[in-house]
Amino acid sequence: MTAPLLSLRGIGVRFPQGGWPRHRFLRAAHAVDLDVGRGEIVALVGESGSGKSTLGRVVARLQEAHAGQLLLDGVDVLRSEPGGASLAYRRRVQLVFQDPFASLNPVHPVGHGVARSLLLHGHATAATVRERVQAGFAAVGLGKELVDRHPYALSGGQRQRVAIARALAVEPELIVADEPTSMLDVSVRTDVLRLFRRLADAESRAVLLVTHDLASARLVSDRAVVLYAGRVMESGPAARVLAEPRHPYARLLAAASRRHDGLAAPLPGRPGTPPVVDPPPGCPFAARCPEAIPACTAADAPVVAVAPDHLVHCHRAEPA
Amino acid sequence: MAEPTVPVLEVQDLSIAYGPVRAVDRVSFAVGRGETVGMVGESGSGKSTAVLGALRLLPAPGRIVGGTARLEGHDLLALDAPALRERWGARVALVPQGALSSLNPLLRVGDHFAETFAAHGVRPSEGGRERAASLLAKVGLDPRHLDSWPHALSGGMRQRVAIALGLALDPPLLVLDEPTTALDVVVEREILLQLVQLQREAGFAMVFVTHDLALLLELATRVAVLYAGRLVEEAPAAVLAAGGARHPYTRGLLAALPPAPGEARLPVSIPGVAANVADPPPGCRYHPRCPLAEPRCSVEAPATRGTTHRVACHLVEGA
Amino acid sequence: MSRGDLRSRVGAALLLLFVLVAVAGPWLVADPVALVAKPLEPPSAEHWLGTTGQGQDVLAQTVVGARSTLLVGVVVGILVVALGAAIGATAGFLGGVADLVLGLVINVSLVMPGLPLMVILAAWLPPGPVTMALVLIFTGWPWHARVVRAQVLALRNRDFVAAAVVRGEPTWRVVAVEILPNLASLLGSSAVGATLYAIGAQVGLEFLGLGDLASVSWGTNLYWATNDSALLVGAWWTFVPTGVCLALVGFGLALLGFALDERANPRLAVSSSGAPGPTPVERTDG
Repeated sequence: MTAPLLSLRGIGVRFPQGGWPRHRFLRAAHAVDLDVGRGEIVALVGESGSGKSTLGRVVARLQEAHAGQLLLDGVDVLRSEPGGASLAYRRRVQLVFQDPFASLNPVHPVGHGVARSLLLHGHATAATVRERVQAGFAAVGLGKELVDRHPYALSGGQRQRVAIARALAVEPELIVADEPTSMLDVSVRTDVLRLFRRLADAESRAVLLVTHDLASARLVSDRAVVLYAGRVMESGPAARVLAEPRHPYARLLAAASRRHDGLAAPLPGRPGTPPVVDPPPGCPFAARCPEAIPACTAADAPVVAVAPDHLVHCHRAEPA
Repeated sequence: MAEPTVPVLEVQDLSIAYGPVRAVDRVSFAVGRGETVGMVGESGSGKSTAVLGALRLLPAPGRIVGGTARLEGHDLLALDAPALRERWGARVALVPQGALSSLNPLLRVGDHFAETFAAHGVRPSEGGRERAASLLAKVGLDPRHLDSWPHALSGGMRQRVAIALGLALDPPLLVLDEPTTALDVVVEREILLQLVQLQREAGFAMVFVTHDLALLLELATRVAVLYAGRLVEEAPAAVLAAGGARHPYTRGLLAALPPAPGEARLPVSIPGVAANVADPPPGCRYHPRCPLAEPRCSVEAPATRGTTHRVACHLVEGA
Repeated sequence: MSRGDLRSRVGAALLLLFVLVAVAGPWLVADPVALVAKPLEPPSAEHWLGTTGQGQDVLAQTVVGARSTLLVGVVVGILVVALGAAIGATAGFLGGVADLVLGLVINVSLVMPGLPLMVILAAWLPPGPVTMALVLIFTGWPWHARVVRAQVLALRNRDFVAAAVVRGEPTWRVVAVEILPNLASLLGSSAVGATLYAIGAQVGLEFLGLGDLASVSWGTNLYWATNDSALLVGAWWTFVPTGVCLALVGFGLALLGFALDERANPRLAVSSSGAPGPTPVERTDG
């Protein structure tokens, strides 16, 4: 078993609330462990307030983590590059944004970002860049005539493909995709998701797929990690975690995501919002959990291996 | 069903334009008492425009250029502002997209209800606050939120307030424009379950505008599918859910949906780019992406055929 | 054509006219400082705008004065915006300590009374166009810095800026190539406004006698006109032509400025539709 390409160990991210002295914090992520192997698609699943986007940005080094390690090929880049990501890191880890309308600069033609990526990382010279941009567009299924058009002239699906072409230009080993299809029409989502699958299978590029859409995640992911209130609830093979989850929150999420029950059955969990500001001790889901016991509010949940590669963070889980 | 009744809302050949662009082209649909009609389409389909236009609630520079929209028999397109104001809120209520912008940030929740009651002649002494409190409870909110400010509430809570406001005057028709699009899936589900229960109790009809076809198959009685400003199919939801969709676009939409757990199907995207209403393809607007397209389709726009299952396609029959 | 188009065309036409006058005019008129006739002669066939209190040709002075005034005005207008934008963009994008320090500098500069400062500086430094330019730039840049800083703060969090950072662009390129081009309309309208300010302040200082009295510019024309008691003797032709030119240039710049403002912020454009109400019905279908 080879070492994973990317590892998060005990990552914590917090945002101070209010002015000085800073003693109230919004805890966006806490004690997060996550692995992404080469050529693997890992889905980071959760709702708003789960911390999934924040973690995606930590991996892309747009967001600082105040605790924990970020290991790329075993090297903790938070210690080796404390002042911000090096160009070398930026070549290996790229990011595709959620909003295809906001991630392209409206004053530049859509080929600009791809060209800049190629030039910055030495993948093309001024003489060869135009041809390489066209090749990059073709690789994501876009016609080369679109290279000089401005963003307003392209559809949402086309813009998202441009964003993917831009990320691919540097030939990254890991792509963080932050809700890449949530702002696209349903009828074009599958093609974009399949593109990621192809990148993983044919080019060994790992993908960290940040999403709230379990169905998309199930379609293309190898493994899945479910987050709530910035903490991991369950992680393991996507087929099991997303279709037959063991953690009560993951079960609630799966039940709410189904579209075939006829809106009859009540949901397995009480309404509520994740406690992220100065959270109380214990499991963050305890207040809403149908299976909570006193231990849940007293101490953090233990990590239980219900199968060799399937971990559940729950007091009620039974080990294999 | 019992004897045929006058539909609550009957829209015929409605056309709406923004300047030279026909955003909605001769769309017809009807909503019966207690029914839920889903309007589904993707970006540029005109689903919101059609519904808001029918109610005369479409903001400028949109304008209605043709058709009729009868609410309980009266054509809304022929009424003046005072007559419309009598009906807005009392006979038809709108729950708009994005409850954050539909709630006045300078008014507490309770004041929103007071405003609505006052506009329709319900005096404060006549138990308005009690009614507002009971409405909040009905949508699953603590009645103490009558004194809350909109910014203090979460997105889901604001949407519930918007629904409660819509039901304040017990209208026979509730129109919801993408009410849960911006919400998390668990909150969305909770709100929809609440809405279904409310409808069962109060008996109002609903028009539900959304891009989420899978949701409508569970929620709606009938579904109207729009593409590039035109109606392409209108059928009972049960028929569509059972594989009975006829129009190639509807079939394409259904094929693009993620499969149910256990379903052995892989979703398929519709090739091509959504038609631009500002510069639509000639003839049938879907023909560039349609697997069945024939030469006739790029020349002549298809008529809508059928009665209980309507389809606008040269090659497929209605029913 | 739309209101905006009409305004920008009229404004641009006016300015073009004066630019032509400034560039080509001096070759077509007499020497403005030469004594050509009796002082304070009213307009006549020989001297279309009469003579000054010294006996110089007013038309020549007006035409030649345009060159100095407009040149300093435009150069200062552009430099004020450039300096203000550079400082404001740096403060807005870097944030943190840099923003605190630069923000303090901007705010203190804004609060200092501009007119007295201008007067003091102009009086203390040796007269000439360079001094004038420095004085105007020194007192004019903070406003633009503040405006640009606010816009950069708003754009800094946009995804396309983050995308540039993620692909490894150096900070200066992110600001100069990704952010500032998005402010083009704002910078354009600011430059027009700054030019208007520069011309007005320049003329004001010269009128007070703080400019280079040996040069010929619209401001010094007005200075000499009052100095020679033109008002007392009713010699309107010594200051009205300059005044009218200033008013027209100001008008042209203002029109151009409004049009650019609307491009920068489309919400400023007055819409033709009236008050909100029910969707109008205008049947065109059969």
